[in-house]
Amino acid sequence: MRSSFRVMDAKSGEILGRVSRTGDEEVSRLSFSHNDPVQLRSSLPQDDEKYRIELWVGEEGSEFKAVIVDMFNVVGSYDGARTSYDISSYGTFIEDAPVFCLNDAGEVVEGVIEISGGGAYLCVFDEDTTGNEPYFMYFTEGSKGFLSVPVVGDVAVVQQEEGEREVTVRYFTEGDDV
Amino acid sequence: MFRVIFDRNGTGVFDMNVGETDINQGTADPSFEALETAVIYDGSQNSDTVFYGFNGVNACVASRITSGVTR
Repeated sequence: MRSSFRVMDAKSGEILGRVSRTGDEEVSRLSFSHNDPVQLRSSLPQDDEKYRIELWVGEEGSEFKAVIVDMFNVVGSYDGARTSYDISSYGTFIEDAPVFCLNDAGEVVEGVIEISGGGAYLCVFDEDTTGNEPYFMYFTEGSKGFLSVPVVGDVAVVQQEEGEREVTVRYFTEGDDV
Repeated sequence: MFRVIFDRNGTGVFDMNVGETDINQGTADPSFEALETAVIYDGSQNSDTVFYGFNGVNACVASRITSGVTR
């Protein structure tokens, strides 16, 4: 087996999805594969729960890199020099934290969180990225690794970008289980 | 080698035993392997003006726990 993902329900332990890929054949219970991102949610939940993703490779092995993307469906405004997206409705954020976005050329652009004079939390990029949406990105890499991050945006995606390890991912609500 | 215990009772207590750390909050073991670097953040205590980030583990969301081990 070259690689596999397991997506688990945190409370029941049920495996919600699994994909495994051999040299010639790919078996998937969900519509994703090793080289494609695994989308854990596509819209903002309409409840008061706080959601989290944990991702880990617990044993030593070959090198890998796995990422968690937390994306906001917001519209940016470009002032001729910078593009700003207001994400205040999603929560409170840390000034100067890194944010990412694609530009029109499909290249990843890094920006930062700024707090406006009015107290709004803005994702700011030094070029026109209005055609795309900003996101947080977390990653772990090496021979093993662990991440546990809050997800607050509309779209949550995980992906093993490099390597062929079995990466376990849990998407769950915070509470007694955290 | 590393070991991570992510406390599941909601207190956000972490135990780790991994390579060298660049750590702002958490517990570090000095007997790390030199070639490994790890980081654990308890972002629950972060304000909205203090950014903690290292090597892919970025505490972006204020008042929420962000933790991880990477190198």
